Amino acid sequence: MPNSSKHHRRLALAGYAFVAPGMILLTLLWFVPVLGALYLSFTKYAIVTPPQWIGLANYKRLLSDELFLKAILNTAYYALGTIPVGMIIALILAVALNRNLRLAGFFRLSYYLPVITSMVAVSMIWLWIYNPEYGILNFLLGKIGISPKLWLAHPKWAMPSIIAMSIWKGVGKNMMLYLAGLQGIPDQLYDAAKVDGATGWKTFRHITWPLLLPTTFFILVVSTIGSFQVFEQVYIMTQGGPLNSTTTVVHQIYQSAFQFFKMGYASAQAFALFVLIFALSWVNNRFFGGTVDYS
Amino acid sequence: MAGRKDGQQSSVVLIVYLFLMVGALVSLGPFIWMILTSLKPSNEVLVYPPRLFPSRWMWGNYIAAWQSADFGLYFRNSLVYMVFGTLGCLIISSLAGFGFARHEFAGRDLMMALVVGTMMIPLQVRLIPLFIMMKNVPFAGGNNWLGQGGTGLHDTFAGLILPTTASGFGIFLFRQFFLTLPRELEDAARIDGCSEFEIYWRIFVPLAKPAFAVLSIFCAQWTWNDFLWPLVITMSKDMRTVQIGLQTFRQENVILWEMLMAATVISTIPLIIIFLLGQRYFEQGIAFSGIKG
Repeated sequence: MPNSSKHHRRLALAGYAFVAPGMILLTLLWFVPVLGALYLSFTKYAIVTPPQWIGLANYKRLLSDELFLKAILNTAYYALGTIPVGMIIALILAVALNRNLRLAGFFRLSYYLPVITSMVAVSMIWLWIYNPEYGILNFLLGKIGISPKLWLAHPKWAMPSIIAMSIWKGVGKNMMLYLAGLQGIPDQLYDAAKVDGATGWKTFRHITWPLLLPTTFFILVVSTIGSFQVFEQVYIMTQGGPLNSTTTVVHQIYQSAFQFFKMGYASAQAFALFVLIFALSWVNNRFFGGTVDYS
Repeated sequence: MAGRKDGQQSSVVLIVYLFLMVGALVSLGPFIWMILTSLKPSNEVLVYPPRLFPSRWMWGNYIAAWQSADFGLYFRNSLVYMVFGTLGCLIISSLAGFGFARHEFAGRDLMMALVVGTMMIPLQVRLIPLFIMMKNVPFAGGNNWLGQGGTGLHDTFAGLILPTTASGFGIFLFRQFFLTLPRELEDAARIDGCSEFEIYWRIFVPLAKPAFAVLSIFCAQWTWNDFLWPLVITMSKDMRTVQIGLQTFRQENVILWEMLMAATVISTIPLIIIFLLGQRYFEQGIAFSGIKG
């Protein structure tokens, strides 16, 4: 290649030019804000006056903030309620759907419709379903002998109601991910197992499940991160109540920042969430990471 | 023996079908109920026990819902957000992905690691600083050169759209895709004297249709359904997106459930259309993010 070093320099310059818009925007809109949030978390800031440095005061307050602690517990309750059940249902559906069924397209569409619908829209639908007097849920439950409940207006049932709705909304997405994972398992393994006389459950336990572990792990990590960011349903359906039984970490951050204008404290809360999510991802990685290779 | 095996096989398939049907009913049920409610006259909605079908089909509810809350304006705003957010993201991600995949320069791997790292940053950590930064953009919204005095990019389309255009996920997607294309393509073009941009525009972009499709659908879905960022960055009624509009529709009116359900149906239709048109790219998208391997 003639003028090799000049050629390389030209390519390098072109490389910088291509990545520059993206890197500049990412720096401005991702890295700078993260550092900014860290800085703000050490200040007291209400927008109208400049930020005032207060050191670790926000974090000290965070440790004794009972409402924030309640929010963390609520969020954990939400995560524990939605993730295992949601994943199991998604896996079962994916296994069921992983055959050449005639109505496969219809099934995939039906399960994916809740996923592509906005959380706002879903919340409106379920607000109507959960309506204590005229909602269809109480009516249907009444038919099988269960007395009507206040659902979203009851401190004990509000979070389970949100959990149930969120599982309903999210199952389709994980089902698609599991389907993709299942389709990556080569047929020869199943044929070989059949020759060895393996039954359905044995095949699942020794071939399907281990080879699905990367998918399971991915879904687990993504679901954990996602569930700890739960906000929209809570804001729309219950506003954190009743009696703070549904307030979540992000809901608290939103309230601190945009209802009480405590930007510094909200930033500390946001950073606490960041650390929490990081820690959970690390834990997930430690316990569930690793892959199986049968080649 | 063969006969019994067949019998067992088809009964398993039947159970699977039944199971999937029940699941589909649970999945679709709420939507069907929403549509049925939206078509009822007012006096058939708040009744107990609930009625299944309306006595007459009130298609007019949809027109009334649309008019009573300026949904035309909300649709326009959401459309602007969706189209320009997606376009911006596609352009910037494909350019950067090309740079990372096909050029060598100092710091490239570090930068790529940072790009991937952004995918781990939750929105809420950036939310407040972004809010503040948008307010203090110099020369915008009445601000002076220091970014003081006005409202910056608050309550503007630019403020709404900008964060969507910078996507580590998008850059990663395109870079992964471009890495799979053979080097001979650009080598031949370079020998022929093509500029790097021509190589990007005439060779790589046309070949990257699947990546463009996947990211488009991803961005379209994200922007149309987005609630938190529009909630924070827009303030006036004129800037409301469909999701914000739907939420305020509920808050500002005594709840006429048939109206709310009609409005909800209306807000959902565009995305369903997009999904139906681009369904296969969803699955390709999952494959691209490398779940399987």
